[in-house]
Amino acid sequence: MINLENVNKNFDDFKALDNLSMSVAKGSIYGLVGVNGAGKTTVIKHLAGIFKSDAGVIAVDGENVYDNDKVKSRMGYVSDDLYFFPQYNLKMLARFYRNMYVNWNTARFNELVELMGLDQKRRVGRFSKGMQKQAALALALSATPEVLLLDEPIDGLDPIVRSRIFKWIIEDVADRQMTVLISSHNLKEMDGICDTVGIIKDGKMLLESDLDELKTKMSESGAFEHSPPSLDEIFIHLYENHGKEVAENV
Amino acid sequence: MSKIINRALLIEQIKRFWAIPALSALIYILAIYMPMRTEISDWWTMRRFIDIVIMGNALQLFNMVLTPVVAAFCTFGMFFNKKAATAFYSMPLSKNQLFATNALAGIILSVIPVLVFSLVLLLPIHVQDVAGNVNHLLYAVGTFRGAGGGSWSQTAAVPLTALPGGFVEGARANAFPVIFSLFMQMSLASIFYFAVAWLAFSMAGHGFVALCLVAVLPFVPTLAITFVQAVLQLFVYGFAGGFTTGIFVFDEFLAYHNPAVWSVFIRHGTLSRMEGIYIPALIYIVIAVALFAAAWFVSRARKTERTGNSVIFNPVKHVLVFVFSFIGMIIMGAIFYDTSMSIANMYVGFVVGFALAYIVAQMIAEKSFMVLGKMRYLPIFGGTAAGIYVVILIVTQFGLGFYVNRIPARDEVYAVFVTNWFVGSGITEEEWRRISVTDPHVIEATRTAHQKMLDGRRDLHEIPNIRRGLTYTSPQLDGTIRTRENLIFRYILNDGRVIQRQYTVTGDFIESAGLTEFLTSELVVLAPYVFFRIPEEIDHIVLSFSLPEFNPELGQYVWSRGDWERIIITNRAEINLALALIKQITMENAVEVRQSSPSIAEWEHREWLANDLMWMSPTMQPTLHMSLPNIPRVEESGRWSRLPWWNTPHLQGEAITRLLELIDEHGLGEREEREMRVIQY
Repeated sequence: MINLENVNKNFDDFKALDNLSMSVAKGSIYGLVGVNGAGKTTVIKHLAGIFKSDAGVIAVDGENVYDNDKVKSRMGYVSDDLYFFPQYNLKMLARFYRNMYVNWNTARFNELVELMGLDQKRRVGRFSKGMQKQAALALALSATPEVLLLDEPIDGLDPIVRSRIFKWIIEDVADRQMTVLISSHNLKEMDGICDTVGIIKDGKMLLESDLDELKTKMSESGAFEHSPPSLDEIFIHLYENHGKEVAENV
Repeated sequence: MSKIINRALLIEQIKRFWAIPALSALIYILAIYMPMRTEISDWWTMRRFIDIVIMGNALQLFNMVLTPVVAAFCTFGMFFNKKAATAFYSMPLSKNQLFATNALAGIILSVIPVLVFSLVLLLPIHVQDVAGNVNHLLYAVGTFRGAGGGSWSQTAAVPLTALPGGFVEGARANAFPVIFSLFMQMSLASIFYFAVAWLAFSMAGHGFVALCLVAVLPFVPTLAITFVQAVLQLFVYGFAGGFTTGIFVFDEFLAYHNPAVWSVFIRHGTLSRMEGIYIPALIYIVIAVALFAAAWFVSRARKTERTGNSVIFNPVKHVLVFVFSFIGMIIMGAIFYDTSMSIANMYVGFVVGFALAYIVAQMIAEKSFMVLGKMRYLPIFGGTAAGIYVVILIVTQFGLGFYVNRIPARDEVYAVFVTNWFVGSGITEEEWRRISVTDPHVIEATRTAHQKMLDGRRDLHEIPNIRRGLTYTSPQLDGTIRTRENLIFRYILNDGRVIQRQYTVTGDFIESAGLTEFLTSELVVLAPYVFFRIPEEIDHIVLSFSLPEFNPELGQYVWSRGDWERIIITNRAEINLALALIKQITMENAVEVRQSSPSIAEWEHREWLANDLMWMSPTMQPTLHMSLPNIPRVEESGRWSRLPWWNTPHLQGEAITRLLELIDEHGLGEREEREMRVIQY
């Protein structure tokens, strides 16, 4: 579904992405993990059509994403740095999304908003950070996207809300084969939701694997005290122990 | 169209920023409100409406520029806000859709208030027949009469109409074509300024820098022209010349940011020519389209990740830093020179100004006070500035000299016209072409005088700069420096082209260059006064005056503003004789002035005193009335056209007394006494 091949991106003198390649299968939940500054947000912004790569291919179902309104109309994106039209409430935002996204589902939106306990008539700018994230998720999910990009969606959210969000995501994946790409530092929760994981370091893809297979192989490597190791244990192990060499052996 | 414009975004952007057209419309209506408060029969009110209709209202013009800039700032806000950029670029829109939709939204937001303004204006204009009150629509000078009996003249200001063929002279005008024309003009101007703003914003990633760019961008052509003119002036006049008045320069400076004004100036060499609506409209459209194209290209080329940077494109940032530094260099150099009259100090000013401006520019560019790291590039920037200065020196000395100092060959010249700026500036091109002299002896004398001017110009460099209408005094000046003039030499060539050279010189220079006789000749003194060459077009002469009377209480002569006397000369033979007498007195007066040696302060006092008296009591100047085809004379209809005041001789004091004695001696005209009538110009 999603393919990145040899993507390079420089920001002035800084090489943000270095020949990065990754692949996300349709109907899967892909977890993109890495330390701060590794390049996770940069990857997601390329996929969302915000950045243009200096080289390489970024495609969804074989179509380039950048400057492609048709592809972007099938994608939902929740940024880690949220932006809403100033002075707008949820109802007004929903009206805008309804007109922008062909597959907008008003019933779904109302249901999600009710479940989240958000006031549609209240200005979104006055919501708390967590509520704003919920609002953004509600809008993105209600657009019924084929691909959902989430950049640190659960950071700052309470456990109840986090579990709800994952529940809705999983439901959509199961119901209509939505493809999801999540980046997060919360590896424990990613552990329970992702099918595939990609670990980025210094703009390069250190490792990309099915999560269960990764855990099995890491268990067999004998590097961990208990089996199967958790995702964060694997992550720390790879980063601290010459990550590239270890990753190549996985 | 639907593919390039996203309807959902368009509607949303207009809804989001509805306050812009609402507030703008309110501001426009304020411009209408004041005239509507008072009775329309008040001639001031009528004048205010006419000002609005001819786009002469300051509030109207200010709003017309401000609204599209604000609209552009709002619709392209994602250029300055990283979060907004992320949101907009991730929307299901292509870049073309994003820019086209926002541009269209901005244009709609800019034009809606103009439409509201035009509709609101239609009613009072139509009901009160403002359009029909405008006479002489096809002429540069129009006379408007209010119902209260007052009248005034408005020059170079004609409400343009959308009617094909324009107004029928003297016809009562329908308000709709005038208002429609106004709407089209203002809409076109709004779209133009929107394009300027969009281009400026597309280059910047920071709101403050963006606003600075949008303020500066329209003046880039003006700055470039001004810079070239300043270089030429320095080359020709050294530091002895200068702009005539600061206000004069500033007015033109502001005017030149408008491309329609350029077209007038480029084609006619003056801003006082009349223009129809079509050519300026075409120029606006062409330039607006070019600006839109440039903004489009730049918007597409900019990288989203640079949002937040002061300037998106590094090369542009470097250029702007350099230009800012260069301007600072010029300003500081001028200040240093001005305070000490020393060229060496001027160079010190250059260095100091460049360095300071460079630091400030880098602070703005980097959005930080910590710019020490950028100082390592200062030598490169400074070296570039020095290189440009050297190139200018080389070009002006070895390249421009031939062009600037060229006096046309004798066989090239068809006619000449010589005057000083003070009287020559008010003459239209048509007029001075008519009165230019074709006498070969005069042409040769002019060329000889011009050559003397050029031969002696190096001496000008030794004379301290005199600026600002002689109000500036320097301790270096001594009593030998007398009057200062701007002299204009105009040549009409055989092929119709015009060569004009203008020089700022002092009285001493004129004398030392042997130009006194030439400049006190009838050719030069009387050249600006059209009527001496075309006496047949003079319908009648009115000499209005109020002679001073001795006041015993004050112990001096004073002028009374109450009673005036007039001498009206209508007989053809008497008109010719009166003109001869005026010519005689004018020549005597001019020679006396030139041959006297007043100090600079005295001359200034005399000049301004004369101006003051002219406004207080126009009797210091004979008023000559011209007849125009199909226009009845003043006694019959009240419609007349008078020559602008500066096209009649500036007689004063004893000259007036002598003229009146001669008039009485020959028994010319009919004398009458009447109360002073207020006439405004």
